[in-house]
Amino acid sequence: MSPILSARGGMSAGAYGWGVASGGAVASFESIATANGDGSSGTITFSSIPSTFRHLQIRMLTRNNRAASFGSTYIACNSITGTSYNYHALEADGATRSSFGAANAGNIYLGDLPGSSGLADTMGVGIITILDYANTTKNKTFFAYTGFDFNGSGKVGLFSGTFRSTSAISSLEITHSTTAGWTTTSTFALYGIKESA
Amino acid sequence: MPAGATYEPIATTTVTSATTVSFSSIPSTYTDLVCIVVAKYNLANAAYAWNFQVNSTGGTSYSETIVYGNNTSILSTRGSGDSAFRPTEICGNGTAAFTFMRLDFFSYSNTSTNKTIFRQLSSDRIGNGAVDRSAGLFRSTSAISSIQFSPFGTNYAVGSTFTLYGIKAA
Repeated sequence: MSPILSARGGMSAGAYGWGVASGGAVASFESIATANGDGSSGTITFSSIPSTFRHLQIRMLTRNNRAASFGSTYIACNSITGTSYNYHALEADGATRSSFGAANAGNIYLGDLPGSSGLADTMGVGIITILDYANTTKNKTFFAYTGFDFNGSGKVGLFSGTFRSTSAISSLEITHSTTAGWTTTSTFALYGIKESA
Repeated sequence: MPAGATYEPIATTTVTSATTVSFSSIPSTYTDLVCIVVAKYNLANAAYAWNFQVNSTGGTSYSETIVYGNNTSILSTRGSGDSAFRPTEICGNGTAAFTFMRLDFFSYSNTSTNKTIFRQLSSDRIGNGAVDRSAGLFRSTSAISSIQFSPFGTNYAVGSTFTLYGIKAA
């Protein structure tokens, strides 16, 4: 049975800025690589990222083996930690709202995502967008939203951050608050977004 | 090397006169689904309730953690053991504006995990409105094969659009 309900009318995907291929045009949202958790490593790395896109996006489905309901998640660039990052956060848990930030941090905070004590078979999700990642005249801006729900508890958050470096981003490292591994059910997908020709 | 084009339109509905809008027989060949809704009710300018379900499932299978702003306050609420997802509001036809909602269904065809859905909603009613973000859970390991958007006691206004996209990972 066809999933199509009626004839197409109105806006195309391009109206939403996604640049979906139509009429033979080149598609602009491309899959670069996918990484999966291995159950033992707490770091997911995308390396040798091509510089041929305008922006990057990571879509992730995550759970880690930390012995808690949830734990903090972070992202860093080019294996650089130190004090090269700033971030701001808006988080909520169904009752409490909080807003905070950090300057001169060692990474960008991406919120809390499920640990091993969380609701079984339930993953956290996140979308991280990195703008102008290959530009060598700008510091790098990140925007992210993450969240999870356990049917009675959960968190949702919006995050912005800066990697204070004009170097192109060639690698990304996603970690969480302990050395426990990302579960084998965790997936991290890296996409490139091209600008118009 | 990039794996090629990965963000594809699956189906679109542009409303002429409709109560429930549905996507059915969704192919399982993508990694994630994205649904873009630009809609309003065929009622006066106000905020109204609405909901959506997956796989025509009701019961107590839905829950969500929400943060939203309503023109005066920032609030956080949750739904638990509910019969549907409940976006914060949808506007009526008394203004030229539509309510915008984006839904990300992660690993929608995975049969080992419950389904986590991320929502972004923006609704401006010229002097009032709401913006919300939520992490929602459909407590089922069944693949999502259909999505139903149900207005309450009215029709979606003419011109409302519902578009479904598939995203493929490498």
